[in-house]
Amino acid sequence: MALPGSGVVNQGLQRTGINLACVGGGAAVGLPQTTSRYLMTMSVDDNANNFAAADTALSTSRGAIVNMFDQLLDGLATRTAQTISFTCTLGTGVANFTIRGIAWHDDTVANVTAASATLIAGIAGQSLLKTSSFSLAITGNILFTDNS
Amino acid sequence: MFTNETPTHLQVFAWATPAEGVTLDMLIAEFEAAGNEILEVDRANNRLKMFDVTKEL
Repeated sequence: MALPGSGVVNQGLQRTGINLACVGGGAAVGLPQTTSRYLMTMSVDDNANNFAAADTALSTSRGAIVNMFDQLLDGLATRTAQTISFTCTLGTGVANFTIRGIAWHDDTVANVTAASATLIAGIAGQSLLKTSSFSLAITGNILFTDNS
Repeated sequence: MFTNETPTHLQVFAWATPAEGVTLDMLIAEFEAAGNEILEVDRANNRLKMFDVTKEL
């Protein structure tokens, strides 16, 4: 079965490059820079539609988002060898609806909306009815492969 | 990393941990009743794997 049309969106790849090169950094080249936008937030929603590569927000091509919850990551992303990991733990009292889409965002503030142009990556096509009976720790990994 | 390397896969997985007062077996029963597929039962760590998706980029 083909996986849902999801992954790192074009904007997410652009943000990776922008942050790597400190495009628009506030200090002169050669000096330490401050990165104001980075992968800091995860969202879950109950929209059944796939993400598209050109999406910039949760609702760009997927249509209206009825139920959505976003939260800061548990901590900054980590790296082991060629894998970057980012985890967010949803407590028992939040996001209690059928989780179908999972996405990660970069932003300058903690809170994002369905229309925020912050989308970095997403996975659609899941189905998990979350309830107050459990917390849910969701981890996303971006895997880099050696092409040499 | 980044030298001769490109992002090739996005992987997502999730673990469900029972709330206070809920046992792992109670949660398993709840998931089965709701039709939620359990991918792995990790009794040592009191948790259930609910998502495990790898998407090739």
